[in-house]
Amino acid sequence: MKTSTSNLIFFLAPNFLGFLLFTLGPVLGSFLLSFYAWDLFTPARFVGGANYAELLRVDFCAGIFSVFFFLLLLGSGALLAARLRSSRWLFYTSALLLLSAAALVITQGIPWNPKFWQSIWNTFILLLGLPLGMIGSLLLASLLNEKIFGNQFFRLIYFLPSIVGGVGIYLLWKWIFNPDIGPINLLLRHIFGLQGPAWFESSSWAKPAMILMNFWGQVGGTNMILYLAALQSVDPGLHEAAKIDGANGIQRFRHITLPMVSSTSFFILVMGLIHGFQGGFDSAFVITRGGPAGATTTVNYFIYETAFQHFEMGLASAASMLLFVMVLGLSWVNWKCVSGKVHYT
Amino acid sequence: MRRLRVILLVVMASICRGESPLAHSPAPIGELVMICPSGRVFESVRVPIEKFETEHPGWKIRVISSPGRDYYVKTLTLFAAHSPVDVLWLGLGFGMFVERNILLPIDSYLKADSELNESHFVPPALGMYSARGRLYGIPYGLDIQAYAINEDLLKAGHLPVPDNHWSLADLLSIGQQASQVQTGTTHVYGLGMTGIPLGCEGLTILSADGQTFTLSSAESLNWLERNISLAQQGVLLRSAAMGQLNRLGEFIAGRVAIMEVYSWELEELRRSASFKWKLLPPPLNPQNTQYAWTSSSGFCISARSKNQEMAWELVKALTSADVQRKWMSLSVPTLKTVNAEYQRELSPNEAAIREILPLLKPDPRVKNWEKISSEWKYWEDKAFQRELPAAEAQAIATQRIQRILDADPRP
Amino acid sequence: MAKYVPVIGPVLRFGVLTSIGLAMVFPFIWMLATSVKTVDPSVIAIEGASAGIFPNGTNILTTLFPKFWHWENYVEVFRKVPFARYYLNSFGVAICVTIGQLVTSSLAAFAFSRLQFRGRDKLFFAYLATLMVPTSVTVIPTFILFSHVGLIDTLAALILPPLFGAYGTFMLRQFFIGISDELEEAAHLDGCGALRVYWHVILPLSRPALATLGVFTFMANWQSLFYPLIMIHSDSNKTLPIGLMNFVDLNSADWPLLMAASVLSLLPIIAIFIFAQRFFTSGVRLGGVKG
Repeated sequence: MKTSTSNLIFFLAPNFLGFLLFTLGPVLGSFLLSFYAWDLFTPARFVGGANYAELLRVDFCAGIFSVFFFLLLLGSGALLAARLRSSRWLFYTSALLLLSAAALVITQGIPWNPKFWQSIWNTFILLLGLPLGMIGSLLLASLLNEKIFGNQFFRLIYFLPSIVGGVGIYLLWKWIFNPDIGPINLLLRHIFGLQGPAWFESSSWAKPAMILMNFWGQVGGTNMILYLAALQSVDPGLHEAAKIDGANGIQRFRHITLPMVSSTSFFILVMGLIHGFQGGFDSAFVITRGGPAGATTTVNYFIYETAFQHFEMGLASAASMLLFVMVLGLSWVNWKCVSGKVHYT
Repeated sequence: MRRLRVILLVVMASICRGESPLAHSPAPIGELVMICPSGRVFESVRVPIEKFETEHPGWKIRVISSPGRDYYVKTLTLFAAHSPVDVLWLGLGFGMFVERNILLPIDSYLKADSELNESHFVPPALGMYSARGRLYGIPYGLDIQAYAINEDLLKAGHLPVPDNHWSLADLLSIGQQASQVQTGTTHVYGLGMTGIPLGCEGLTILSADGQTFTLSSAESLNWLERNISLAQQGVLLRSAAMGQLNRLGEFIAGRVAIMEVYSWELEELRRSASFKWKLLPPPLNPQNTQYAWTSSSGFCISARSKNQEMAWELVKALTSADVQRKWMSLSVPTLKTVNAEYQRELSPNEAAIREILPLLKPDPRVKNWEKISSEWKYWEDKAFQRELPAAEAQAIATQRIQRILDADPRP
Repeated sequence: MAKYVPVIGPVLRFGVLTSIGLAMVFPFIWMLATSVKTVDPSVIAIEGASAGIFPNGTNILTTLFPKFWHWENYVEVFRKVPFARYYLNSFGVAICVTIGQLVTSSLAAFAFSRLQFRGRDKLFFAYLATLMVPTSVTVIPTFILFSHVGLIDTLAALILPPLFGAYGTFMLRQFFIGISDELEEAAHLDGCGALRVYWHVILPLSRPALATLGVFTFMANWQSLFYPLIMIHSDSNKTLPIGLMNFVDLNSADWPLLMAASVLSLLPIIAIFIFAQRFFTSGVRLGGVKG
């Protein structure tokens, strides 16, 4: 049954127009803008690959970079035109590009743009909280899996931190981690007799503080619910059989539970990685403004700062394009690596 | 059902369009848009604006208030987004605006004016809003920085109270010794600042023409390393940088011996301090001069304004003698008449202000001041956090900041 | 019942759960406790150390439950900054985005799941791909676009971009696919066009999914900080997150007031959570993975 055009327009048009205007259009716009230098007051100036070169810090090879980029674009276009099914060519060309960039940088001996690379590093470190949170969620879900008194109440309580995000909570945690009068250092001082670290005022403790804060906010949230659902779908007969065979609790956990929740884990991992790379702005802005010496500047915050505080639109667009490529690449790598190990019931 | 959809769309559109759910008033004859920081400035412009609107019937003034911390960046963004702004408040960020050629020179207006004249202002005032020989704004208040001493605290620690001719060495010794004074179980900070100010050492971030980064010398390295060690000893109030502890609040609570205080903070100090305190001018630096931090508050006109004459009238109304009298407790007036009143009424423990006034001088005008100061702060923080040795941080900062300056040379 | 965590008796399990629960809730209690304190030294001198934020001379219980509660902090918040205006703006924007998202996403999801047209699946795949586009990629050109049409510093700039997110379309499409075809075929036999099928058959059946999407969209928008930060500059157009940030700058260490303002900004979220909890768990299941 072919749909009439008027019907199609009525249903699809609003969302599709918005999609073009606010998603697809800006992505293309960002791509174009990344080849210009623009400070919003003077007319935009074409600089080719210089923005990318500055971020990847290959000073006077900006010309070579531009040529390379356009060649890559040309090549990809040719591939698409030739309708090559295999994506291996794209993989090889991008690997080649990365290798050549690395070679150029190493031979130059020029330090890489410290702030951009630091922001990538910060984002990676903050992503380390993801496996921690997953383990915590799984453990909590295991604890809550029984029909005991107050189960529903506990689920509610644990879910609360994950929905109350926002500026209020970040300010609260800034207060909690206050080195002089906040409860955490007070606890350390009165119970353990330790001088607590300077949390958000120290560049080495700011990220652990962020990870702790994110852990609190996510451990009892949607991940736990997902794990609960997965645990409840596991056939109890498996566990009975294992008990008969003489397996104790830990062995049953490792060999039955973990594989059974692997598909959930995979889903959570992928979603967590994608969100993790895109997030981190709110907390960085509210609590530390990018952190002592850039310790909590994530890639998002770096882009905001470059675009809207230093007014370097082209550079920020280039950084956001690099971020986009990283997110895509991460998802692809994740898919390829983990899909072999997932066990579907 | 189709009607329902239409109604829904109309409702949504009307909510989108208006800034407030309330209806707009009917269109006036002329409208001026003004932007100023929220808080005290926003509250203080209400009365002059009402007076202006009664004196010039048919003209409406719409005031946009923007938060204090990011005020300059946000105002620049508004300009970049082609939002109509006629009059804007400017202070320290004046250089960023004037170098981007978005301000209107008002020399001709001032010369042609019958009531106001250049000679009505105290000498440094108009210079704060001048660039390349042209005037761009009228100030209503000069902001100064002085040093507040908690005399009771020093006496409790048997330390000498310095006088107006004190030097950097005095500042350092008192600060370090005061940190050892114990009042109960709370820590006492000798110096209520995040670092010894540059001016106390005779250093500046940029050269006078704003083209060279001047914190690359050996003296600057000394200064940086000394600040780092002072912070480690607990002499400096570093937490104030993160907004964790309130500098002024700590001083009022009696936990700080010497603090840099700004003219707009004096009112709260007068009101809340329960101990004996006094102000001092900046200490003599190693070059035997005094450097006074200078800023001012005033209004400028946008070059894209379509109602320039009216904007000039508004600027005059916002910087009149009445307005300056109302601001007397928070800043130093710029009109000679009001300034004389101010100086007469200074209380004895604030007498140092008279010594500071002759030292006021504007800073170099730099277009990318925001970028440069955040870059410097980044590398300075790295040194403070011990991630890099101070010398290396200084070297990298010099290279990068000089690159920013060279990328945008002054014509 | 199989035990998944080795060797824990029921009482011990309850104890563990309770202590974890306390750790989860403790920050909120601390927030409430701080919000009723004061930083005025003269008041602290009268009421004792527990009324202040410096915990010298108190133990943990009196710090958490001070003798005197300064409820006037909550009133002071409204006086110091135009908090009511922030609330109103936040509310208006969130409602508009929620309604708009529901309408456009359900229409598009219907098109993707029930209507046949050329390139349908390829287009849907493109939609999915944009889920991975970070906000920072689209924000700069959107800012430039809005600045050319003069929408910067208006609430419209906050309402339009999130209105067309792909997540709602994705979630609703998955749900619509699950609805059986029989009802639709019966409706076709009765002579209903696509629009009537949508309105009378699909929508009523997908009330839970729509409600879930609405709740999630509202909450995400209530807490959104990035877009308002870039688009809004003047005080009268600010939403709650930005207004709260403004508050931080003005009162950089007046923690009791800050905490009071934070409590106020969290109230709608907690209210929605209490009254609409089932939508959260069902939402997770709808967007979650099978098995």
